[in-house]
Amino acid sequence: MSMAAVETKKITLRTADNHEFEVEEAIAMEFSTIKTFFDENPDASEDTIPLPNVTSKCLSAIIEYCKSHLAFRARETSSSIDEQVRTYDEEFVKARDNESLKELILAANYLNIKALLDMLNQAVADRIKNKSVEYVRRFFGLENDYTPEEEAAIRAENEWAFEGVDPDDD
Amino acid sequence: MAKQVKVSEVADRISSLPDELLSHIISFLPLNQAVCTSILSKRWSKISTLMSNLNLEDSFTRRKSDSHNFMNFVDRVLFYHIGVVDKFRIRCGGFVDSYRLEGWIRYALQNDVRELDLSVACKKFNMLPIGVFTCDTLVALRLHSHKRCMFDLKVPVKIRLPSLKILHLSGIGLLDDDPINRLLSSCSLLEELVVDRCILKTRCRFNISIPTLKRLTIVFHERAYKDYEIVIDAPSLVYFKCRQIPKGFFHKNLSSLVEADIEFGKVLESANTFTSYNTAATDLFKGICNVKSLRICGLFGKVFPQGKIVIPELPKLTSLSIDGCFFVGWESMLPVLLASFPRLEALVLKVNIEIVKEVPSSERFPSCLWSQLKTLKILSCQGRKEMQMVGFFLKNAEVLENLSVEPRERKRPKPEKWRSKITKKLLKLPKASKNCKVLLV
Repeated sequence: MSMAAVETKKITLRTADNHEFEVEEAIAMEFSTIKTFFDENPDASEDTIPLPNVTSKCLSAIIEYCKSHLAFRARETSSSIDEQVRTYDEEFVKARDNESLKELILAANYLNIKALLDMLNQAVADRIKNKSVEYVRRFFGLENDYTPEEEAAIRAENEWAFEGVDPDDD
Repeated sequence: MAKQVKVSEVADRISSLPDELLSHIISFLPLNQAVCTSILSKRWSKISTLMSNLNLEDSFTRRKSDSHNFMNFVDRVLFYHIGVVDKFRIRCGGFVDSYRLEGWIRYALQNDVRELDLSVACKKFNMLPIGVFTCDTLVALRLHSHKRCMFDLKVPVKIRLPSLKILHLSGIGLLDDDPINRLLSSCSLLEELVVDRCILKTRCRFNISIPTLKRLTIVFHERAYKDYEIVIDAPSLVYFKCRQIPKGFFHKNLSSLVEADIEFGKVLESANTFTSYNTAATDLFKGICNVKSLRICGLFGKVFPQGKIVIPELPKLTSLSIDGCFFVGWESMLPVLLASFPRLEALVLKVNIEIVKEVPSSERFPSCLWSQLKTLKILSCQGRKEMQMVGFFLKNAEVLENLSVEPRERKRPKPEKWRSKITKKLLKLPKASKNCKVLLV
């Protein structure tokens, strides 16, 4: 007794490092950038979509995230599902180093996936919270272009905010 | 040709992130830290002014001078702020000046605020700017009273909240003329309503006729409880919680309800208090009869369910959580309670039980239970007292897959020793279901 396979439409995506990914249409539609593209070009669904700003490592992580969240949403809402979603999000972020978090943000921003982007932004904020100014500069790869007087002026203006922030502990 | 993305390139590309995205990241930080980012580099002095999420918290300072600095800081932040205010959250204590506070809220209203979350202990602040009640952009409104200072909300006559989806009122005094129903009739898109320990007039009636409502929570504090009634027509309602059962419950449509959480409260403590709630309780359970998941909390066995209302059969219920105290032994209480749930698969018990003289025979319990129960969780376990009951379940539940026991939080002289003792006891108990996993959490 054979069961006919359900035909699910697949979209092909090509990453910056020239890997091709075949994803189900439902997942590709989670990427608002791609959804908008298809809304405007309905007959382009057979073509391969190039993603020059996304690496294969990022894309496979993002596809996993969207797949899992779609599966959570398909189940009935309940407080235990909400908890499972929270746990999944925590695990997704926990193991990644700062560099991969930053890469994921760039990719999620480019692909315009709001829920993922919000979650990643919160995760980055948690990592720079209570850290020294130097740490945050290094995290974002920034050069201090203030003169010492300018820096002192900013500290004075925002005296209340700078109170209680540890100057240089890492 | 594979292209390796180097770290320095990532750093360069991070700075190519638009200012709005960077400001969104720092808006998740406490406000003072977010403002401190203005010192990172010249470009960043602008980024902190673009934050669309503003989280103003003065940590309920106890000194008036600290409060002064906080108010000046907030004034400055709002003065330099550019763009819309998406989320506006204020937590502040008694020293904050109510006029300044009102000004901050008005600023948010004027900048298309979508979420407003206020927890204020300021004594003179008892009127929200009227603009809050006629805000076109507001999607979520959360008001909490601080325990030091109850907030008496005056709800104006003219209310128009066309976008409001979430309304949380916690600890608020609502002693106007029918304030809740007036609010509800002006929120045609409401999805979530929480009325938590608010001070209401006696016999207050909740008239809930909202086609979009998905979640409803009505909670009263035990000591500040006054009778209330619920009249409800909510075809999209998925979750319902009440603490202290109502004195009247009239439902028209609860066809989507999946999960309910009922805390009986004081009414179960004596036969005198209970008789007047009998009808409402019966109607309540009729209303939630299609739920799949239920939590009941109270004192069982004194008045209920013996001789008074009995929970009707809930044919779709697969997951049950019983929380509270048993006035009689578990061997007579549980069979009565479980008789209403013929499809039960998952059971959570958080009950004070005692060791009973005679372990019941399995036939006292509904027979379908033993062939269906897959998960059993015992919470707040003290150790010895629950072993007898756990052993009874293990011996009779033929398809049990998971048994987990969570100990009560307590200072024990040798916690590891206690844990291994209990684990050993658990693992020794005979099991009807050979593959059942037994776990001490």
